[in-house]
Amino acid sequence: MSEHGGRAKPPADPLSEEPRRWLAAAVAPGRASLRRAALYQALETVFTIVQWAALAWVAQGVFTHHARPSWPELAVLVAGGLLAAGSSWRAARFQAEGRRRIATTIRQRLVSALLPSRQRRTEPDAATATMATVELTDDVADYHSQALPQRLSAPASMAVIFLVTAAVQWPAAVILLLSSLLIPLNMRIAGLFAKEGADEAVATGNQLGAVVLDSFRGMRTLQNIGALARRRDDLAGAAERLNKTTMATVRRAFVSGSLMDVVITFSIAVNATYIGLSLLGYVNLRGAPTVTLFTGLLALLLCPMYFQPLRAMAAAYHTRERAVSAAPTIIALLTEAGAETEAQLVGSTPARRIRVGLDDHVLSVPEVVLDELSLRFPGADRPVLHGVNATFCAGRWTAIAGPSGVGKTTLLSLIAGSRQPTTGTVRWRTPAGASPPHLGACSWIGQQTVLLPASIVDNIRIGRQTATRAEVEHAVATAGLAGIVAQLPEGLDTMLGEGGYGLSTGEARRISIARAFLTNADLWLLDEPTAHLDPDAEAQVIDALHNATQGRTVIVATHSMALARSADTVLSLVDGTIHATREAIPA
Amino acid sequence: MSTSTQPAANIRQSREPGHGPRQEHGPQVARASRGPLNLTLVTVAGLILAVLAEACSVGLVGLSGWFIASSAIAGATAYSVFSYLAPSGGVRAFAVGRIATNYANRVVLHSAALRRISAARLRFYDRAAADPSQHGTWSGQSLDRVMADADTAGMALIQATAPLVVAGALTAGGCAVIVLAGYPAIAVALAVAAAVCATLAIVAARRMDDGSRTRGALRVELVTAIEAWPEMASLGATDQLAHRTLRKLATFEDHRFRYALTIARVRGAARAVTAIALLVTVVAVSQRGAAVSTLVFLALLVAGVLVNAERLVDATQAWAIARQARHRLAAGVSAETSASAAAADPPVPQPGPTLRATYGRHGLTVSDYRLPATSPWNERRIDVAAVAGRTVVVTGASGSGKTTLLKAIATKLRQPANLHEPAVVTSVLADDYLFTGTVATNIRLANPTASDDEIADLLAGMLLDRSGIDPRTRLGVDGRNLSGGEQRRLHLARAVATQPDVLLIDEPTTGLDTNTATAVLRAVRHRLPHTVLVLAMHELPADPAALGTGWSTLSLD
Repeated sequence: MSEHGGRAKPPADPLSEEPRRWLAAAVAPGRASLRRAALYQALETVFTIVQWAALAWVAQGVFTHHARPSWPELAVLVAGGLLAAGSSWRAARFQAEGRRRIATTIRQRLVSALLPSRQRRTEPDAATATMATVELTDDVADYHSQALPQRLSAPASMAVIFLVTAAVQWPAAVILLLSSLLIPLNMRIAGLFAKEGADEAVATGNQLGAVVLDSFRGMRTLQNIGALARRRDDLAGAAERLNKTTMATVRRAFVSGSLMDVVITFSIAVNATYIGLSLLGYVNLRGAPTVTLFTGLLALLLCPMYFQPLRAMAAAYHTRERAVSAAPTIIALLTEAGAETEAQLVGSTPARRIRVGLDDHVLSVPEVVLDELSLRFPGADRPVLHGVNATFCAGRWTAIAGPSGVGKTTLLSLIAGSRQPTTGTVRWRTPAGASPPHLGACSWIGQQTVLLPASIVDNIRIGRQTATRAEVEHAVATAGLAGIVAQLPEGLDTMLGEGGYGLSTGEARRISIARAFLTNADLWLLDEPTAHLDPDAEAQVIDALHNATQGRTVIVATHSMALARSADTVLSLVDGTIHATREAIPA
Repeated sequence: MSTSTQPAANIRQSREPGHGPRQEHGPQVARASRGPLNLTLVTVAGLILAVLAEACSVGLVGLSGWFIASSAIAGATAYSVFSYLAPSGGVRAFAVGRIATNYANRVVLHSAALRRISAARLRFYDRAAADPSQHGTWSGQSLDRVMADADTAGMALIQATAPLVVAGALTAGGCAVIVLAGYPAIAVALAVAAAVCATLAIVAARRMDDGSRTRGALRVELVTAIEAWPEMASLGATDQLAHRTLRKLATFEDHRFRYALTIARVRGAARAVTAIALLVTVVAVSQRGAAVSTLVFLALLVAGVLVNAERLVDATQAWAIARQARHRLAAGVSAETSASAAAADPPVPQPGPTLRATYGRHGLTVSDYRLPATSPWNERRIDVAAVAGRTVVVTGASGSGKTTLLKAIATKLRQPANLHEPAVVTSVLADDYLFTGTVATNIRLANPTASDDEIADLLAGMLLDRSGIDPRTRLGVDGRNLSGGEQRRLHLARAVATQPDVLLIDEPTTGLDTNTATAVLRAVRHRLPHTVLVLAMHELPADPAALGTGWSTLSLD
């Protein structure tokens, strides 16, 4: 069944080759475990055969000797069942093991692509990256952990059953063989049916998806124009249409499923009738072995088992579909980031300029010059930024204001050098000369502070592991955390992170400031550093930032009035370019 | 001024029935009440068919075994009266029945499940629609998750309910048959084995933690890590960041793995239980010296019923997952969605609880609006009164609270207690949405009875015809095929189409040049002669005559 899935899809486009290849390769880390799982699945079949053979043996014994079943017969009966149970347990266990290995490997790759140790050229969309790491990875791992063992064990199981049936009762084996011949035909029919309805179903499904997304995104507007209930009717209509086309597809799919049912059911019925009539002596195939109760019963019991693996594979069809559709997203995240990292390794020099004294301080504080900067994302129809010219004065606070989504963070990452502009240049200029931007040589404070499960002192000196305790204390005081730290029983050695002391968002942000202060960079880039803070916490963070950045160049992207007001200069970013420059303090 | 109430009443009378927001609920309720009963019938029919299909399967194998054993006995007896016709006919009947009921139960159950999915989606839409705080917080991914939850909740009928019902019915039916055959002890054994399988399945399902919650926490964790990357990179601490993230992922995976091991053990245990039950059956039957045909029949019956009991392990898991999905749907929104929404928007200053806004015979009355505490004009109170046909222009610098005031008035007015008589309140905000489709479908959302000519006329009033926009123009997702100014004018045209009693517009002329702005304002005023217009604007329009004769201003500066 899994094979016809590929054929039922629209004619192969070259793009779909890569996801398939990647998907096939992704199984590697779990292959050993999954092979063992396949082995145990086959063993389960073998032991189940033993169990049924024992039952037939018991019946034969009771029939011929008119006696109670003997101990060995009963022992084999229960042993077969228990061993089959044990095999099924082991198979599931190894499946879980393989699943875990596959998922862990994909996640490790994703994390090293999303959180690279050197440079990151593309800014991954957090929502997509998260979905790929959590759900899509699971989809791929689930598929492999089901499909590989099945693919290996199904032929083996079917072969064993076929051979045993042939050994005890070859006419029954012929029936199985004839039924098997019908299966490819059935699959072809299923494929045709699926193809016929697929396009229509996909189109209606997409349509419903669009209506649903539109309805929820535009819900505020619907309320504004009093059309919530009318839109509901549209939604119900689209859902109804999807259900209709889905049912049409499903009905056709079930017809082909029923053909399979017919094959299985009539194999059983024909087998039972043939065996029964042979035992009665009404039928006598020339050359056929004598039918006994044992051989007849065993052949009958093995018949439904023979088709079991095929049905399991048909049931796994959807997991395959999910995995195939998950693959492109994961690949995109892996290759984008991966290729960029390789390219970057050559040119990057993460040497941090740590100054010791304050003598050359004024000399090394850079001004930032943007020259005809523009940026267009690959595939986007209009540039995010275009014709940006600006000079950010050395030693001053400049705010870039503008509503969210206008490209403030993007502009900051260009200034930091963590992203390359499409055209134009960014220069950090000091009296000593100009240098290209480098993220490792500036301080970046964003909207999210990550606290590591370590003490406060270790959390603060992650930027400079060699910092002395006195230096850390100075940084803590500058960030306005001294009072808070003093209240903690273990002071600077208080553990943070999971299970440790819980800091408020504002306090965590001030930890960031202390960290950055300790690295002593001359250029600070602040990306909405007061987002998600209440006015009091915001005021404290703004104070701490001003304390920590005295004499340094600070560029802050924000839509907070309070923060913009505290800057020396405010630029506003509108429609992709820096529009107006005005002094911050309003009249 | 008092004369102006009369025309307003006339407008309402001339309006098409079923047009206003209040009338919309009528037909829907009637439809909803017919649906569930029908759906219940379909569901029950599907479940009965599922039970029949499985009973036919078990019966087919059991009867075939009995037939073979009986044939063997008859074949060995010289003068047997055994007739193969009835049993082999029975085998064929079971075979045909199995095929037919299998097909029918799949189709019927699927149809019921799909309808359940639709119903779950609509219920969720209703819930979300009733909670204005969630409007506009929807991302494609959070919606995908909600829709997946609806799918899970609906498909539970096939994956959880049907196997549970089938296992229960077959166990009961199997026990009944065995008792009728005269072996109550075996019936007890079968019931006990099925009960043990059920208990194992329930225990396993209870061990399952709330996958969505752990996933939600993990997602938040990942988003944090990705967003914190530049900060950590500037500190040279990306390795620590990656390490931390990997550890969280490993913990998550460990949980899953341990649960998978539990399921593996439970599956094995259930299989072992059925093996032992089979042994007990064989021993108990042969103790009684029964015929071999009885022995075979009972053994196969017990084995067949217990195969269904083993399926309970999967069914209870599906049940638990579906229950979580239903909980999330019932909560209206996943905790995670609301958390991220709160993170995305800075806290909006709440309109003072003191605000009163009513619309009635004397037009619009707004009183006791206190400006948000963040502004320096803390102490100011605002009162507005406007009769039908008047225009109020609220002016002020950006950030002075114009939008907040407009939203507050609209919210208050929509509370039924504040409308002394039925009235239509429409607002146009800066972030209004255009729905995928044509211009006409958007206008007809506002007014379903609008004809193509009326729509074209409306577009001409907004000067949209000059940009070549007609009712059939396709808009793309959120109006992407239009320019900003065109989108704005279409928002206004759509609002005008609702024929509102009160129309609140935030920055009606943003993105429009002076001439267009004047023409558009004039068109709005002209087409809605009896509507109270409240416009929030940076400054008064260049040509105040566009506002009609009766206008006043309210400055928030």
